[in-house]
Amino acid sequence: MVFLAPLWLSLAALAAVPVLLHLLRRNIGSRLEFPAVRYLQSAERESSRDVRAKNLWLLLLRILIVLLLALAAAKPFWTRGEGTPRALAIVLDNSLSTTAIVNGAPVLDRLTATARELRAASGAAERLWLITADGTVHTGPDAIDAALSRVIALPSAGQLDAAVRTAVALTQAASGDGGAVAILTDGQRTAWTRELPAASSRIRVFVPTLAPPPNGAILSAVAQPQWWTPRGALELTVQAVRDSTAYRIAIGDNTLARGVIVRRPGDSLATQRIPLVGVGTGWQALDVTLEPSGVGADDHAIVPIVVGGVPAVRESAGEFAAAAVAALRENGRVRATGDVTVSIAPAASISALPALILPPSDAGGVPSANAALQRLGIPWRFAAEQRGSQLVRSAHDDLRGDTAIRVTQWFPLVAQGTPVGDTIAQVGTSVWMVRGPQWIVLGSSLDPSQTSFPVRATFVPWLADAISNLSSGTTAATFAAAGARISVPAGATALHSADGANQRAVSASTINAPAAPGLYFWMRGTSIIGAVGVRIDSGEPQLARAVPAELLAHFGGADHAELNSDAPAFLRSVRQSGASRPLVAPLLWLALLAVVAEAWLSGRYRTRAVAGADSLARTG
Amino acid sequence: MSLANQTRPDLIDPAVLTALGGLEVRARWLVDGFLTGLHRSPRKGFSVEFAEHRPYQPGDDLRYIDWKIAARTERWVVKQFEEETNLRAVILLDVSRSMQWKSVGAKLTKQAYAEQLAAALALLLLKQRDAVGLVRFDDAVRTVVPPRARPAHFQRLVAAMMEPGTGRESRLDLALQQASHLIRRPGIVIVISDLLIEADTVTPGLRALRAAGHDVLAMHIMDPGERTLDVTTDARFIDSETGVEVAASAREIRAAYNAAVEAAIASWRTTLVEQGGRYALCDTSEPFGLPLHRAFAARDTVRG
Repeated sequence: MVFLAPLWLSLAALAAVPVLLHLLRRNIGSRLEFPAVRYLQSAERESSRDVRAKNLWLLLLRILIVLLLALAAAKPFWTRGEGTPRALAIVLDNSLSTTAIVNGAPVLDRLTATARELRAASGAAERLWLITADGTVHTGPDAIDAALSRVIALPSAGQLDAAVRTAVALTQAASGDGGAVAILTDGQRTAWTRELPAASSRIRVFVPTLAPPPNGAILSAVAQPQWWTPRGALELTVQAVRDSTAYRIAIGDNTLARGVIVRRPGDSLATQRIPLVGVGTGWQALDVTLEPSGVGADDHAIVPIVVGGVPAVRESAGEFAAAAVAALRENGRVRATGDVTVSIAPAASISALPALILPPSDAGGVPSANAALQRLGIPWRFAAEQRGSQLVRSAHDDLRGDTAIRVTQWFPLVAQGTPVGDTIAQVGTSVWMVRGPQWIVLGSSLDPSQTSFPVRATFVPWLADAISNLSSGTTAATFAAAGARISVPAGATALHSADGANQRAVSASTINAPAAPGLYFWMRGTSIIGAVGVRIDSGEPQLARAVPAELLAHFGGADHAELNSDAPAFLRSVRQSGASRPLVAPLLWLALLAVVAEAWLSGRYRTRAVAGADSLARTG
Repeated sequence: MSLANQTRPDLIDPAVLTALGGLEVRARWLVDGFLTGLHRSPRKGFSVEFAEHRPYQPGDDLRYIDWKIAARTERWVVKQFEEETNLRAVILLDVSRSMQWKSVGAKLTKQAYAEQLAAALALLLLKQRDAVGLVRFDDAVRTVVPPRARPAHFQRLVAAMMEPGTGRESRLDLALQQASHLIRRPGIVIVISDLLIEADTVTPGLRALRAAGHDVLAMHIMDPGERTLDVTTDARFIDSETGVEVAASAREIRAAYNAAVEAAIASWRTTLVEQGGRYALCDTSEPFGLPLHRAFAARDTVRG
């Protein structure tokens, strides 16, 4: 028998209470004057044996009740010798956080070594699986041995919850009594946030007692703007473990900057905007590195930028567009003339791409505007004018999450044939803004009488990015978590890692982001048309451990799970979990029976006493 | 008396009755109420002695016409009789320490009940022209009042009952001896006691009284709490007379205790019957009329 909460066994000491009460009753303190003591003496002589026997039974029953409750509180499991589980799934946490170096070795090494011991101790006949944090399932002893010999840490948090669910499903399907799931994890608090549904599988969790090291990390590195001319800046936010954190920023072998970020006293985060001058042209990977600490992977980040010339803009889209372009020109983001000129004007006025295309000023101009779109090869047309007051809906990064853009007059955009391009925003059910490789078509003029967009704070930054985007023929870089669902930009045919080692073709409109953090380029043929930065999970740099109660709660509480920090105890617990049965319910039933018996025994004597009294009363 | 108008005093709660007036007054109320309940002349059936003749008057009972004189003198006269005392009774009143006890729910001690009962009984007997004496006893005979039939004797009896001084235990055997000295002619001895004594100690005395032609009526006074062990706690029960202590759980021992009480009652009844006596159990919560009836029935039997 094993106990999940052996400390509760100390409650068994309360068994002394009925014994003490029993003994104390022999030393009755209160004194009553009672003339008929001679009858009491007689009664005592007559009933003493009976009463003694009853008291002894009551004493034994009360002791039994206390002991049973203490046993039940200790949550015992009956085990059948060294019965290893018939089905055992080992979940190995090889998330990024397990690369933290503690006592000279990564935590993952310790977890892997324990997993090997567990595998070695497993019976030959049992069903065995190994599931890593990314959800990969290895079935059978040989496959598991091979996987354990070459297991490496994921570059991300992985999906530990999903891995555990998989393990539970496998063991439940393979074993009538649910089998056992052995989880080996560093116990990182951010990795275990959602409670698992109750399962019949016995869950044994191994969390080595290894204090997490201090961990500096890049929490955020954002190019501002993304298009450098070649000047730009990087806004860097780090989780600092010291007052100052050294950094290096480079493109390839060219170091752009070195320095330190100083945190304010009491803060764990430090943010700094670092002005930089890019090198080369086109898409570049900005390599940001911190001095090593804790988990190595989060000391490094790659930020996509586009280095190029300053685009020229020719606009005739009203005073608000003119004011925005003037501000950008003043800021050096655009100029009047250049190699590439971006037009911002109603469709009928545009003769060549790239262009930000606006609708006609009135319904009468729709035919000529659509003719211009046809001439420019843009597969979208303006439909009949709509009026009303509606908010723009957009799930796209381009509008920076602005949900308060209101539209009162617009020309819905209608695709010609198969839609081409990215729908950036909609009004109601109609398309309001759509983007192609060298064009953006807007359903309303940049005038507050038609839309509030030109007076929103997001307008100028959006216009700056749009001009850069149109001039370079690329889309804006986006960021996503590893494995998250992402949209494929219009015209993209492949996704390449920045180093070119990882390439995959894309054909759907959405795909899963790569599992490994880093920079990936959207390709159209051999041209880079966009980038996606896959970030490590924001929680991974936070190495704080969950307390045992949190982890137990996550796995359904102590009734279902057992937590061990000692490897031998963990291995023993897993080995004994196979034939174990929880004994709490039977013990509680026994305790209830004992309570009923105690009540019956007490009541029986009470009834007899009352009956005797009644009988006497009748006789008198 | 307003009380009499409301209900008969012999049938009301004894605790209520004892809250009204002194012992003597209460006794008179009791007896009046009791006699009212009998619905017969207190003198009917009593033995009387001839006193004188008087002229017949219409309405006189023809049975009492002296037919001999009528035949001799042709005068119709009726015989008149003088009542006489033909029964001598002695009340043995236990005033030992155990008689001073009452249970938590009771309002009267056993002694208070016994004294009231004794007073009422004495008055009742005196009203029947019986001579009544009193012996108060505990571990010794404390008070002896010889039997007298005068109505004024009642005040003396009441005064004797009010005397202080009680010992610890009950020596009924001594009281029985004293009673045998007090009444020479066959009479009745009424014992009013809680009988917390060994029956063996009184058997010789009972036998001697019976041999002398006396009838014995034992009125066993019991408190309700004493009968049913009406306590709920575990305690050390102390006999104030003997100092004996018994530690017991009332809840556990109650059944056996009740059996022991039942056995004791049966034993006393058997003992008294075997010795030609009578036994009456008197609960201190029951109206005084009930034990008075029992005693009166016993007295009639003796007379009959």
